[in-house]
Amino acid sequence: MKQRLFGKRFKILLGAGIIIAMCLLAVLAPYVAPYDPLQQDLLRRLKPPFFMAGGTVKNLLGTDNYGRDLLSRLIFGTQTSIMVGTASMALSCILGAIAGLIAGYKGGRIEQLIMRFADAHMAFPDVLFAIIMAAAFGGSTFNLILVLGISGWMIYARLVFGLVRSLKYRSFIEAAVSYGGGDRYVMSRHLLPQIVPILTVVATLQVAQMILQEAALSFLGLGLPPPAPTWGNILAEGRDRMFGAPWIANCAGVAIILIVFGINMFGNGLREYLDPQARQR
Amino acid sequence: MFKFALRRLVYIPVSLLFVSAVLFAVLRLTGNPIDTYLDINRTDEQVAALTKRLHLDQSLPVQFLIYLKDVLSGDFGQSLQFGEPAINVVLERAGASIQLVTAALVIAVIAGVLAGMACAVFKDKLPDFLISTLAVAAQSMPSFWLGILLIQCFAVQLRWLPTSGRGGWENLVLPAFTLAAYLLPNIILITRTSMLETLREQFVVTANAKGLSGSQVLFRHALPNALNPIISFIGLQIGRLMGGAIITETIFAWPGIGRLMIGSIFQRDVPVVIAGVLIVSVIIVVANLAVDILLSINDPRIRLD
Repeated sequence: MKQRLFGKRFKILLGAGIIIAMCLLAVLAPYVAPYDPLQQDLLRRLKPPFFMAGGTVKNLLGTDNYGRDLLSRLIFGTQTSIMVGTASMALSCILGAIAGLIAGYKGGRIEQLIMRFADAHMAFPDVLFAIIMAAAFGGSTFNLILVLGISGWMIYARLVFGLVRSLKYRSFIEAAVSYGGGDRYVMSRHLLPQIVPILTVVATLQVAQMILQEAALSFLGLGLPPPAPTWGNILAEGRDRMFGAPWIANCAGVAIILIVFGINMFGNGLREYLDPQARQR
Repeated sequence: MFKFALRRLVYIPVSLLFVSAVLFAVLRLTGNPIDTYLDINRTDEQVAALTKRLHLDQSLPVQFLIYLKDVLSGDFGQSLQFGEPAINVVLERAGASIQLVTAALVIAVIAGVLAGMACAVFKDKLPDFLISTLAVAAQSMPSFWLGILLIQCFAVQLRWLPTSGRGGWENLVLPAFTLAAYLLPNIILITRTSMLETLREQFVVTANAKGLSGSQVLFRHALPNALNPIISFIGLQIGRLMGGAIITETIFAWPGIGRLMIGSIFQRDVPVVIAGVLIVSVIIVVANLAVDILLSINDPRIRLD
């Protein structure tokens, strides 16, 4: 392609900007949010945002069915989304990378065992798996991280497995083995550093997927239980008020799309930066 | 061909066994099943009878074998909400789910392949730029919000289509498009890349040199050879599509398996949930088999390895 409209530097900067802003909002939520996200005010129910007729600057994005300030709820919602998104990504990345490293490097029976297990898990749709687990163990932040983390490990296992298998017979690995490097040493000091760049890109993009999954589970009522201000919960409330108060669902939707877009931009920019071949496509 | 299909068939029981084992483990981990069936006013006789009926007095491995036998014979127990066999409740809704997924798949494939081809043909020109930018942006769109937006636009504002439920074709349009949005952006981008690679091949140059018309070269020569990455992508995504169907059915009150399962989870109707998960897994595994066969028909070289 001659020249993309968005260069890699622009993508990385824009993505990083959005991500940093969202993280700051999450950390500073108690200071930034104008109201307590759980505080109800039944006299000020279903007020529209300031840019719609009847809205006031008192509640910038309006209020929901219980008179709770939507902006405050959205700001506190970033906490759950970012925490569950990054922690579950980290969990599945660690599980998958270790499984893939061992399967790719050891080969033989261990490879068969790990990779066939991953194949079987692939046939079990992750949303379905997450729904079963969330329904069985209930929605708490810890359970959500566990469920989403376990349901995503195969992606990393397959990726790392493929990379390790192609690296295994390269001479620098043979050299490391021949001067007496043990399995763990070769895997951690010689194989892993080769994989980290690609793994970083996939892991970054995966955070966006995890945030979407968390929102989807909340939306179905399987995330943190209702009064908790998560984006999925707000969206689910918004669906029930779609006719009278469309701003509830739409504000939550914009919040989700903003962070997912930021992460995707950052991840794609990073890929182009680390892998020059991707730029040719 | 037959041998190839047979070899793929072996994977089906293995995958389904895995799903059944996970379900069994989750079931036993979530606490005493007696509590889901009987309320607080139960008598000791009731508990004893139920313990015997559910085989809870046996050891865990024996329980697992009995469970597998029941699953194989399609006996998931009675639904607690509907009072009829859970498998019947689920199978009644399967048609609606399959209809929705098929419609979404058709929309995603036709629109995605055509848009992707347009990108490849007009590479670096305005249509390519517009479509691929839109596709990349659409990857960030959460489908559950897209569904709500579509309802707001086409059902509430324009009043062209109904908001929810199942009925004529007009009920199918919005859910099918929402579900199609799961695959559409990726199909466009994959088709674009695959088409660009194919268009560089010798046989396309030959076809052009023979004096065939542009559309003949594109659809008869280039497209069949560019299709395989798209078919295998769809195969990998069928699980995600079924997962998306659960969410789409919830948004649009579409009476399929997904909505039934979500409702049953809140009603603690365990037999229906298990039957639902297994039927969905069967659909996915069979669809994957179909994709594998389709791939080998389109590209006979695959059968050799």
